[in-house]
Amino acid sequence: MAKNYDPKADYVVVSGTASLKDENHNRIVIKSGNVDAKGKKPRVKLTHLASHEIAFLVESKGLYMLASDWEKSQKGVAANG
Amino acid sequence: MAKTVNAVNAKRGKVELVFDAALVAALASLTTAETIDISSIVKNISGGDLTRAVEKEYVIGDDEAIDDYDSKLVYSNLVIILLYTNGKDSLGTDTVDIGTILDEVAVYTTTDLTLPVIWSVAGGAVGDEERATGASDTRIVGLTPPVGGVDSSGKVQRTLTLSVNSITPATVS
Repeated sequence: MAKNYDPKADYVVVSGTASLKDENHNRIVIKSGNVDAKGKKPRVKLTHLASHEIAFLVESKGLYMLASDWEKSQKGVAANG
Repeated sequence: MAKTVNAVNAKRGKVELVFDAALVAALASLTTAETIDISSIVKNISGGDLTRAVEKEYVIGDDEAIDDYDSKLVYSNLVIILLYTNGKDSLGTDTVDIGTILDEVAVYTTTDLTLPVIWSVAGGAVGDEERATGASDTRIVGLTPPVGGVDSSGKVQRTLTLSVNSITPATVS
């Protein structure tokens, strides 16, 4: 894996549907199209996962992106679009 | 000689039941809303097949049918076969006896109780495919009484049938 992913960082779901456990051990499902009241993608913490597991979900599955990377890519889309 | 059915498969998938706040409020034996892993007592899970109704309409003089696709998807009932030690298995924070809880949910009529299921045939590790039934529309429609003596260790078998209106595929993380 190319990058060392920090479990304490914020991530966003960018493709498909993620199923993760919240702090109360209840499973929640977040779809890539989900947005909050402000129209922003919800940020999630993946502190229960190891760095290599996050790398797998980001790089192999394409499920998540680092929130900072995603925002950067959105600015790029806006500038080019 | 009595026949012995196979016990729980060691390579079984992961199955979880969602005990939500409404269920906790309704049943005196529960105090914690949580997702309970019942993999250890699930012998088999099947159903949830997706079908979409298509009506074929024929017009006089036209050989080809007009396909009228229904926008709604229909899922078959989800059938879970449980194999457990009657009255002695304890699962989750509230040390739930699954047989008792299912009996209580099945006969409860005061409010509309739902029992969503999350399962992963792959085992439920990070990155595996997973499916979840709708949080507000998964209901018990069938529950067999305990059938004793189905394996050599004296476990009982029950079959739980759930009506589902939606199933969401997801990736475990």
